[in-house]
Amino acid sequence: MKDSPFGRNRALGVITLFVVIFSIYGFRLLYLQVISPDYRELAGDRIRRREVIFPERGLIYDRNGVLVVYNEPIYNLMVIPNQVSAMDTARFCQLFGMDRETFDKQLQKAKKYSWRKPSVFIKEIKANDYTAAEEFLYQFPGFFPEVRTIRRYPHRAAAHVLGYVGEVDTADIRKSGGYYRPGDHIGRTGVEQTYEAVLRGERGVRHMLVDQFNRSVGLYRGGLWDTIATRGQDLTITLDIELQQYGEWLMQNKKGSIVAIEPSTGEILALVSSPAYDPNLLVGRERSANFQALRTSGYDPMNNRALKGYYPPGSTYKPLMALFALEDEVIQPNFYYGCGGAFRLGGLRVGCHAHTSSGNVQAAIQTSCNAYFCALFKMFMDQKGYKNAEEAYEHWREYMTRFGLGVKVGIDIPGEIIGNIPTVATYDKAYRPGAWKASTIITLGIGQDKMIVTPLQQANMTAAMANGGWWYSPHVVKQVESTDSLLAPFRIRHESGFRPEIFGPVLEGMAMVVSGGTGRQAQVPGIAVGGKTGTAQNPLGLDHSLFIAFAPVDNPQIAIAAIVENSGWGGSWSAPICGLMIEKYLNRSISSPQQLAKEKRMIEGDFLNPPKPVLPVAAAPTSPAAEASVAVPVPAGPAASSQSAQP
Amino acid sequence: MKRQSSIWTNIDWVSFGLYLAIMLFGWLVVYAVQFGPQSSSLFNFSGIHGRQLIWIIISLIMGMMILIFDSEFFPGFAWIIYGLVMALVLFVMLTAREINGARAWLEFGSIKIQPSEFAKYATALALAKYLSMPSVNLAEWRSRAGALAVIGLPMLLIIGQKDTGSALVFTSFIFVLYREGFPIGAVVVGAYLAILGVLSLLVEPGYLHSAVALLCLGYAVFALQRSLKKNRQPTLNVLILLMIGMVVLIITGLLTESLWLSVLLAAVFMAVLYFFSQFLRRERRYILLPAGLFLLSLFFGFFIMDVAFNDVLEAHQRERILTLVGKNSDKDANYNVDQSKMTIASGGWLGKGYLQGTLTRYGHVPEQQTDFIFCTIGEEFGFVGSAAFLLAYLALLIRIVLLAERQRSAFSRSFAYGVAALFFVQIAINVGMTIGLVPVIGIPLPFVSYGGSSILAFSVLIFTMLRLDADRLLVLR
Repeated sequence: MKDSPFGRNRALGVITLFVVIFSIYGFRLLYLQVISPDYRELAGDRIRRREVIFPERGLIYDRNGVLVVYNEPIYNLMVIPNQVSAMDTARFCQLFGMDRETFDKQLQKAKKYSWRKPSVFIKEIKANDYTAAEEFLYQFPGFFPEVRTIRRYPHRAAAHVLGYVGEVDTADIRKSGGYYRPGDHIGRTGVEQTYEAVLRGERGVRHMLVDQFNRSVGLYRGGLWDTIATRGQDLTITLDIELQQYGEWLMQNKKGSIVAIEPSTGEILALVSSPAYDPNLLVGRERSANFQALRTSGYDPMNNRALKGYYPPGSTYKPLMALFALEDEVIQPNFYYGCGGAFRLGGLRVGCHAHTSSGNVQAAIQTSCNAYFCALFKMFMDQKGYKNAEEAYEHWREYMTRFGLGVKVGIDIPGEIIGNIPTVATYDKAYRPGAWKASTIITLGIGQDKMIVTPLQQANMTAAMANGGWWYSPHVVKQVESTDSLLAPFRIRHESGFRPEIFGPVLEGMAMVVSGGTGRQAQVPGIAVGGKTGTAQNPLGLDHSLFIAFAPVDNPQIAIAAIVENSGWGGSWSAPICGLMIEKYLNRSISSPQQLAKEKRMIEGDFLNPPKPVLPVAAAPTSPAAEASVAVPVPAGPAASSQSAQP
Repeated sequence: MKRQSSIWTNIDWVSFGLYLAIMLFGWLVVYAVQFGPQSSSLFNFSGIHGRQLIWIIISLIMGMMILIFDSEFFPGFAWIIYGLVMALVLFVMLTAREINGARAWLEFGSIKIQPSEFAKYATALALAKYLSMPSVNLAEWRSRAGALAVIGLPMLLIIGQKDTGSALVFTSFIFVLYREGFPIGAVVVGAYLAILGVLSLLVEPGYLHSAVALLCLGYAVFALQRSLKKNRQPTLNVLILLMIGMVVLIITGLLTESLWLSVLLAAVFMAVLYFFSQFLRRERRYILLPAGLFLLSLFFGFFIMDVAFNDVLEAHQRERILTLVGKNSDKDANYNVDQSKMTIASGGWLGKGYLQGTLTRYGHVPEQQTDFIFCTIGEEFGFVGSAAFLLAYLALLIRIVLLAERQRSAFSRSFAYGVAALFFVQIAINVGMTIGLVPVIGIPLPFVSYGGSSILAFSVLIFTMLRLDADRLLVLR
């Protein structure tokens, strides 16, 4: 047997400790329950209701300070099942326009979720409808409102840039580590998604005392446990909303895209993807129905063609090819190449159209000579210093990435694709390692073969050329209310490293394209425009019409790329659209009769094969009175400018 | 044969009666918590009170089985049970799905078992076994370390499950060690560290630095005074040196804001002291002891606490501790405790009556059937009821200690102390948090909170103790 060495006095110590602690607890209970009135009074029989105050999402302004997105209050009718007592259900259903069956179903659903916790009974009731029913709400204990806001878009434009706001799903909740709760809103696509963290604000909580008629009679404990909601931060986007609206209007009944960039900053002035849709469709109770309608409407309006459009650049690539050749001193600007109506190499023949032979780079760009640029590509690939075609090709491909081709350019809205500048591996697979050379892939020199460039990349490449060899990542947000750190990636200048003096002749050639070449349709009275047409062959139908441009030539303030699918030759559709956009941006309006005539021809152009997409129509957003002065859409053309996709 | 027949007469009916009364009362409270317009009658067992009753019955059957076991079984199998349960805890830690932030549950379809509840039982057995071994003597460091290891292993594993609250309960075994002769000095050091820990959360590093210096100064004076009594006269020089040094530290502590500066100052100070102590060979320990204490305290207060607080604890636990010491501004964390206090306070003298608790019904307190179940007792039975309830607990605890003291074998005594200590700490933490005296730690109230593992594990503890007590005249090892 092992003896206890310490015996009873330690046992006494333990018992004493037990008694002391229990006595402390006893006195604490006596104090709480009997002596101090503080907590007892609080607990009265009135019911407390914990209300979440949802913060207002940040507003969005365009580059000129015009309000493009605002919030409109909307009401969720909430229910706490164990507070529901006998009531006139028929009256309730009539007030809120629901049938008895739905009522029972909803109540059952709420009970299943929790008897004690509030759940949404009717979602997103319009402010007008709610105020009509509000005064009778006291007859229905257990029901109370929760104020939410929905987004409104007075200009009905820029849906692809702004994105939309939707309810969180379980994946969002899990990813956020519990920040979001069921029923919360979250930005989907566009600026709403990228800048969610600053736009959303901070939730608040309010504890209300309510009487037996379910009416608030004040704050519980004077608001001691309440937290205020912090409004989301406002954003200023780089778009010129008027230009954006105008672009969407010009693109009506066409598939395609326009992207306009301010070259000196990389700020996107307009980003049109057509067919477009009214962003007001994707708010409130009708969102999911409209979402389905849009998806099944044909021509895929939800697809952001500016970022995801899969287009061969065609001849719009030629100025860049010229720059590559000049940079490596494969040619001098006065390089002559005789065009016999085609580029011929052995049995290979790339056709060209009828034009005079080119005496220099400028002229070759002006006439868009296929033979000339095929020759440049061949010479570039065969230049000294590279062991074989693979190495020379790798070098060419690396030049492409310096102008943002074949890579992401880093725009701040989700969904950008890298296009396709084939890798060595692609060609090794298509042919055989070592079995391909310049002549195999010669049409890369004129922007064909497997080359794919998005409209965004085209506009960015144009901006980089107009700048003389550098660019900022294109972006759509100009300013966040309180922080600049989110915009840091857009303050980094990407350098091509090309010699500045080689840009002169190329840009001059592009100016000649507009003044007296293939792109005369892009002319703007009083403004010198540089550009390049492109016609991309499309195996599925009529050629895509492409145009890139910048203006004014001596001090570029806008670089633009436009694509109209299946409309045929580049000069006929994309060029005038670019010209009109440039005039709209630089002069704020279209003035001369011949330009107005061009505008008329553009909006009448219709390249959608029947059946036309049948898009749902959104109710007109009600502008808040205070902001009405800035929020009224001012379309340049005919009044219904923003109904771009409406037949 | 004789033993078999005597088991029913040798049982301690007082503790058994208290146990049964508390458990049945707890069941009625569980029913009250979920009572509402939608709930079924007391005898419809589809609700949580029905499931709770099933667990109570299982616990009683399990208890009867334990009573017919041979009491030699428990010391005999203590290590094996301990090993198996630790393996199970480890297994759950590595494989289980995360529920409420912890990997602590073993799932069989809809039944969830929490092995950490049974780890308490296994540890109580193993510790009792260890302390009753003839070779173990708590006067020796080796035995102390061994005993701490037996307690420490499950704690570490359960912290690994991210269930820090349950791990904390294992500190209750300190009571057993204390009773079996763990030096009182260690307990004092533990209390000192606890105070230091709280201070390090409360005050700026500079102030902590000063406070520690002040404490060390006090210790130095105390040590000098004692040595004077024993007629070993330290020179006046030592006294002056110490005074000056500590005062300098107190002042610099108040002036610095940076942690590193205060550590640097402390190091310089120590170096100077060490230098002088070379000339004062005989009195060296009067300088080096307080200096060492100072350094260790700083190390603990700054470094260990920082690591423990920021890296070991989960965010919500940090929040709760900060709430308790009054430093938290997060309203959600404070709100729950406030609601709990208010619900209890609303009971008044006599309470609102059984099933009449309006705040309980409207679900103002979170997790009311488990961790916050005491709120319902407070609301429906008032001060009189909840005080009587606590008294019943206290009576049970004291009874268990008295039972422990009448054992002849160290194994039985240690085990009974373990049972008492586990109950005490869980009750103290659980009730303490509902009345705002202890941070919110998610552990159940024994025999009352809804939850099968908890009821079963605590019943097994009680019945094992009753079984051992029935053979109190035998010597087990």
